[in-house]
Amino acid sequence: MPIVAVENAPEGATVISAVKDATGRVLMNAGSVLTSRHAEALMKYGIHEIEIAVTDGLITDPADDARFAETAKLLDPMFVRNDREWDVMAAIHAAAVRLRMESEEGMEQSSGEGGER
Amino acid sequence: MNPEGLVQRFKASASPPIIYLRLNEEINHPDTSLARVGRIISEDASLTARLLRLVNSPFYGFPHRIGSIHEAVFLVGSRQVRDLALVTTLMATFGTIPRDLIDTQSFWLHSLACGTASRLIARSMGKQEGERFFLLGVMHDIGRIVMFNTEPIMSESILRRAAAENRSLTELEHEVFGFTHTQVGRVLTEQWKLPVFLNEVVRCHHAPERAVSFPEEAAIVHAADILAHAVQLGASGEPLLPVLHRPSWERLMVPVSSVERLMREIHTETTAMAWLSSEELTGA
Repeated sequence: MPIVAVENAPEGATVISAVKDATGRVLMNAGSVLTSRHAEALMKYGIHEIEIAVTDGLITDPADDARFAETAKLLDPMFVRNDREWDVMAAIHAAAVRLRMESEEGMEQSSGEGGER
Repeated sequence: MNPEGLVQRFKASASPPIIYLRLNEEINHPDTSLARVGRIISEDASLTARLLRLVNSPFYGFPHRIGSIHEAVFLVGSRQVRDLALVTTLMATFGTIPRDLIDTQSFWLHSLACGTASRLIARSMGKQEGERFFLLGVMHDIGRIVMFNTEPIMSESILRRAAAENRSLTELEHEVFGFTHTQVGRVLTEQWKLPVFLNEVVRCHHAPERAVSFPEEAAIVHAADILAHAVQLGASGEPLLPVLHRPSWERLMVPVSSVERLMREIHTETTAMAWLSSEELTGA
């Protein structure tokens, strides 16, 4: 998941990791949706970076879009019995695709690290 | 061939969870005590060790180490410890899966993901009995273990066909055996005198609308199974995502905006729990 500067984080992004102040007090729970007021408040608390979810429309790197489509194609056969037009199933499918992409990235990174040794 | 026949043959090779029945009897006794519950568990050294690992794991996140089963019973609760004892005892059944048929670890990981998902969904609904939902999720496919164990050749054939033809394994079970793993699981849980809520969930996890006494539990495990498939940790041999029953999902009140967060939690917590695998499965 991308860690972005609070000032650049798009409004409406879902916060993935709980945001805490220096004493460990939770300022925003994981899963909260970021608003401009949140962003201002976080900066006042000295929080400058947050981890947000990648969701359609927020991260628009064409390479990511292409990878998403490619991974979705791999997973589509698994979803054949379900109605992908239903928003719940569309959300499950999109999350499954992103989890697969992250898992593949993790495997690529660990095989790269192994190769360097 | 019928589910009763398969269960009869399975029972010859797998032991019923006697300790659960003893714990249940003790807990339901009017003069029950935490000390006696602890003593029953302590009689089984292997169970004691597994339970202590579980209560000291991220599953609970206690701030200090729990060193004795008596402390665990006191902190976690006797009914909860009884349910955990049943999970760890029934885990032995996973070890009976023929190794060349399906990857036992992978099958276990899917079950663990379903247990974790059930617990997280139940928690989001404000339910406190996390161990009960964990138990239900982990054990939902117990009927499949019986089928793999007693009919490995037929099971291998349908596992191959399901993968090659991208067909539902449950439908193929029905086509080839004449019954499915949910019916086999129902018979086993009845014959082993396991709790009635487990019996109904095992029977109804693909058709939660058929649950009579525990429809909420059935709906939770039904959804948990689908999310566990979708997070792609482990595999039950089923290549297709089972059909999500809309009214059952709606009953859970999980907003669409929380689906991804829930799936990420399932992924993270299951991965954190994955230590609860090889030793228990292999008996090493």
